[in-house]
Amino acid sequence: MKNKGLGEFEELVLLAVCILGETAYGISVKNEVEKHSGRSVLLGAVHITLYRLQDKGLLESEMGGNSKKRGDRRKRLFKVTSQGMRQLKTSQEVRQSMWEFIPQLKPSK
Amino acid sequence: MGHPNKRHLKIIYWLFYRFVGSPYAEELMGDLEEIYEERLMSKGKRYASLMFWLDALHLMIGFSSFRDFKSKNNQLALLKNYLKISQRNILKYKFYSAINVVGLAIGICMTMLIAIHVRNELSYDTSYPKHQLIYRLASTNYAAKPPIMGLEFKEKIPEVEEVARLFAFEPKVLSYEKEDLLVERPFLADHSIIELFDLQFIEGNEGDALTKPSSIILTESIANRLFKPGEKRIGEVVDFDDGWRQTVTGIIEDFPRNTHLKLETISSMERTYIGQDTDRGWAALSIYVLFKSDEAVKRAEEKLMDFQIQFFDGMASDEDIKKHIEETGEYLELHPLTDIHLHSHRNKEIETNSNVMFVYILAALAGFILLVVSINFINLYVAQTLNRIREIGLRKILGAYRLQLIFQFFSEAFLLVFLSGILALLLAYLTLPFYNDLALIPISIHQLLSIQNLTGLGVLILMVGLLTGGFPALYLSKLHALQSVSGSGLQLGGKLPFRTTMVAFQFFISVCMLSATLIINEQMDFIETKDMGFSKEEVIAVQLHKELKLEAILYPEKIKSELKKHPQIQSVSYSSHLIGKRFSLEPTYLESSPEHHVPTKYLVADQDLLETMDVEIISGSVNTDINSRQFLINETAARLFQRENIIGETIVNSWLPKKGEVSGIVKDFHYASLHNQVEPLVIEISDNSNAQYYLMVRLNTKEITSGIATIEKALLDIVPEALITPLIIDEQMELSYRAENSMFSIFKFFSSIIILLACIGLFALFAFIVQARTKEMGIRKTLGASLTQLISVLSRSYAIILLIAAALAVPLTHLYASRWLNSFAFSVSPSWATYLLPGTLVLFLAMIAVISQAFKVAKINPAESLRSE
Repeated sequence: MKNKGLGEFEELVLLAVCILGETAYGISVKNEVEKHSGRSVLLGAVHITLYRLQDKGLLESEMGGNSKKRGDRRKRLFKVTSQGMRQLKTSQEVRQSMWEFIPQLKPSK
Repeated sequence: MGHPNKRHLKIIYWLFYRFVGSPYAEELMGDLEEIYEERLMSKGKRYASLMFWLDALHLMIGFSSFRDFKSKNNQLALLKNYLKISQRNILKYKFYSAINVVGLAIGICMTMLIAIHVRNELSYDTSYPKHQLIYRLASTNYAAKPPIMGLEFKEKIPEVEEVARLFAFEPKVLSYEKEDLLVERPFLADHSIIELFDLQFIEGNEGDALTKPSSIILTESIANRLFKPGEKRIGEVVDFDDGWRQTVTGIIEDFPRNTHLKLETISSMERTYIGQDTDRGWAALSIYVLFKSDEAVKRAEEKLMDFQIQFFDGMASDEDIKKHIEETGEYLELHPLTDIHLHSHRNKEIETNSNVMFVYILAALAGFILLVVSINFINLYVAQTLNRIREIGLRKILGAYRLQLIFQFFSEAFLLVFLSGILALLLAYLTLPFYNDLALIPISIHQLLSIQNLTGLGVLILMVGLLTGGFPALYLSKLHALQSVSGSGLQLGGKLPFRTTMVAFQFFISVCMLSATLIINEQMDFIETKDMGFSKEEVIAVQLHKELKLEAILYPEKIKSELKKHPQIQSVSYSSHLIGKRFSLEPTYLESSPEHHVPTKYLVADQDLLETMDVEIISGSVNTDINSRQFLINETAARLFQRENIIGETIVNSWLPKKGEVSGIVKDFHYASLHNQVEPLVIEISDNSNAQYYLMVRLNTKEITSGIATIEKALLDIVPEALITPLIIDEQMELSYRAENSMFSIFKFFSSIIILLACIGLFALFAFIVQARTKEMGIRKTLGASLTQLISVLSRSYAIILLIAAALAVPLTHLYASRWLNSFAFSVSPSWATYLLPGTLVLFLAMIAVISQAFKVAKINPAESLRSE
C-alpha cells in the first residue's frame, strides 16, 4: 500500500497502540486516546480505525487474552508494524519541518 | 459484578453474527461487555445499558459499511446515497422539513394518546376471567333491583351458575384502634362475589371470607392505610360506620382501574336487613349473574318475561302485571358486564358511566388529526420534490430504473416519517401528564411503551409513509427524462386539483371542530348557569358519622346554634341525603287512594333546609307548631298524585311505612343532573336526627376555603375527635357532568391543535406555491399590476375554496351537535353565531397565512425576480 498519509484520529489511535505495546486492544486504545486527547471517543470509531490501519498495513493483530470479565471472550491484540512506525515518524517529521516555518514562532531577531 | 441483560446480549450477538460476521463478533462482544462493567461502576446502570446499545449499533453500522457489504451490495450503497441526498434536502429546506416532521410528530403523538385512551375505555371490565359469562340483572330504566330478586332468579332459572348481589353504601368511616379512615366506596356483597369476579386474595382464605355475618374484606390499599405495617390483620375487628363491628376475613388486591366496580371494602351481606329484605319494589342492589354457558344466557333471556310476571305473583293477576309492565316499559334485561361502562345510563348505576359516543368522538378526532397532518405532509413533500425534478431527470439519464426512483422516494418519505415517529414518542412522553389531567383514566408510561402501542406506532409509520411517499414516488418517477431536466411542461403553480381538494378538506374539518367546540361550550355554560331552582353555590355539606352523628342525635340544636354564631355562616340544616346525589326511591301513595302508587324520591330534612338550599315554597307552608309528621312535595309529585288540592291530604310511604300530612308544595328544583327531568320528590320534615346523615351549611361569603375552615373549627370545638369531611355541593353536582367536562376539555385541546396544524400547513404550502410564481408576479408587475391586484390574484382561488369548505361544514356539525344535545333533558339551541363564527375565524386565520405570503412576493422588485436566466 502506498504511503497515503494519516488522518488525525488515525494518528492518535496509532500512537496509542505504540504506547500500550503488548496490551493494545479496543478498550485500552479507547481509554488511552481519551486520556491524552481529553475528548470522549466512541468504541465503534476506535475499532473501525484499528481495522482500517490494519488494512493499510500499519498494524498487525492476533487474538488472545480471554478473561472472565469479558464473558470469556478473547480480544484482538494489536501491534504496530515497522511500516506503521515509519509512517508515524514521517508524519512527525513533516509536521516538525512545517512548524519551523511558522513566522510567528521564530525567535525575534 | 454486573453483566448486561442476557437477552440483550443474545440479540446483539445475533445481529453481529448476521451483519458483521463471526470472526469479529467475539472480540467486539468481549469489548462491549468489558466496557459495560466499567461504566456500570462509574456511571450507573442506566447509562451503561444505554451506551451498550449505542456502541453496539455504532459498531454494527461501522463494520457493515466498512467491510464486505460495500463490495457486495450495490443496492445498499445506493440506499446510502439516497439517505445522504435526503439528509441534504432536509437540511437545505430546514423550515419546511421542520414543519413537516414536527407537524407529523404532533399528529402521531395525539393519535397514539387517543388510541391508548380508547383502548382503556374499551377494556372496561374485561380483566375478570369470567367476564364473558357475567351479566347484570336489571331493567330498562333501573340498574338496581330488589334483593329478593337475585335469590329467586338463582332458584328459578337453572341456567344460572351463581348470583352475587352488591349494595353500594354512601361513604363510611372505617376505624381500627385509633386510626380513622373515610372509605369512599364501601360495599355490601354476597360471598359469591369472590367466585364471580375471581377476587385475588393476598391474605385470608377465599373459602370462608364473607361467609359469616359482620365479616369484611378490604382491598390492599385500604388495608395498608388502616393498619400499620407488620400488624396482624386477618381476624382483627374493625369498626365500620359507628359501631358496626366487623371481622377482617381477607385482604384482596385492589380492583383494576378499568372497571365500574371500584370496590374498596366488601362487607358480608349475610343476615343483614338489606340482604334479607323481601320488598319487591325496592331497587337497591346491583345483581350480577354468572351463567353456565353462552347458550344458557340465551335460554335465560327467553325466560325473563315469565320470571318477571312470576316475581310479582300474588300482587295482581298475571294479565294485570303484564299490562303494567308494558305500560311502564320496565322490562327485565340482562346487561353484559362489559357493556355497562359504555352503554348503560340508568338510574342507580354504581358510578356515572362513560358513553360509547365519547369513544367514537375520540376515534374520529384521532382520524381527523392524522388526516390533517398527513395532508400537510403530502402537500409539502410534493411541493418540495417538484423542486427536485432536475435531480430525477439526471438520475434517469444516468440509467436509474423507475423502480429505483420509486424506491428512493419511498425511502426518503419513510426516513421523515420515522423521525416523526421517534419525536412523537418523545412528545407523548412529555405531554402525558397534561393529557392525563384532561382524561378521566390516566395513561401510564408503561402503556405508552407497551408492545401493542409500539406495534401500532410501527403500523402507523408504515401507513403514513406509504401514503405520503406514494404520490411523488409514482408520479414523479413517471416523468420523461428530458422533460424533467429541461423543466418544461411542468405545472409548478400548484393547479393540482388533488392538492386544493385536500386543503379544502382540512379546513372543512377545522371549521367542524371549532363549531362543535363552541356548541359544547354553550351547553356547558348553560348547565353551569341554568337556574336549578335552588342555589348550589356556597353550600357545604358535612357528613355526619361516629362522634359527630352521636352529637347530632343527642343535641341537634346545639350544633346548629354553635355554627350559626359565626358571621360567615348563614344557615344550617340537617338532611338525609346529599343534594345533587341520588336520593332513595320510595313508593308513596295518598291514603285516600291507596291503589295509586307513585314512585317518588324521598328526602328527610328539617325545615331549615328550604332556607339553606334556597328552595321556594309555592303553596302552603311548614307548620312549626304541630308535632306530627308532615311532608313537602315538589310540583312534579303534586301533578302525579292527580289531586286538585293536595295540601292536607295524608301521604303514606309504603316502604317504611310512615304517614303524614302534606303541608306544602315546593317549586321543582333540579336535585339531580340536567341529563334527567325533575322527578317527583317527597320531603319529610323531621327534627329527628336519626335519619340525618348530612349537615348542610350555607355560607355568607364567597370565600369557600375560609368558610370550610370555620365550619371545621366550630365542629371540632364541639366534638374534638370528629373526622370532618366537608363537600362542596357545587362541585358534587359537577361530578355528574364529569364525562362531559372531560370530553369537552379533550375536544378543546384537539380542535385547537387541528386548527393550528391546518393553518401551518396552508402557510407552508402557500409559501412554496408563491415562491414558484415569483416570476409570474414580476411580469405582472412590470405590466402594471398593482399590489392589491397581485395579492388578489394569488389568494383569490384559496379564498373561494375555504369558503366552500366552511359552508359545507355547517350542516354536518349541526346534525351531530343536535344529536348530542338531545342526550340532555335540558339543552341550548345553538345560535346562528355558533355556526358562522368558526367559519369566519378559520377563514380569517387562513387568509392571514395566505396574504402575508402573497404580500411578500408581490412586494419584490420585478428587477429582482426576473433577473435570473
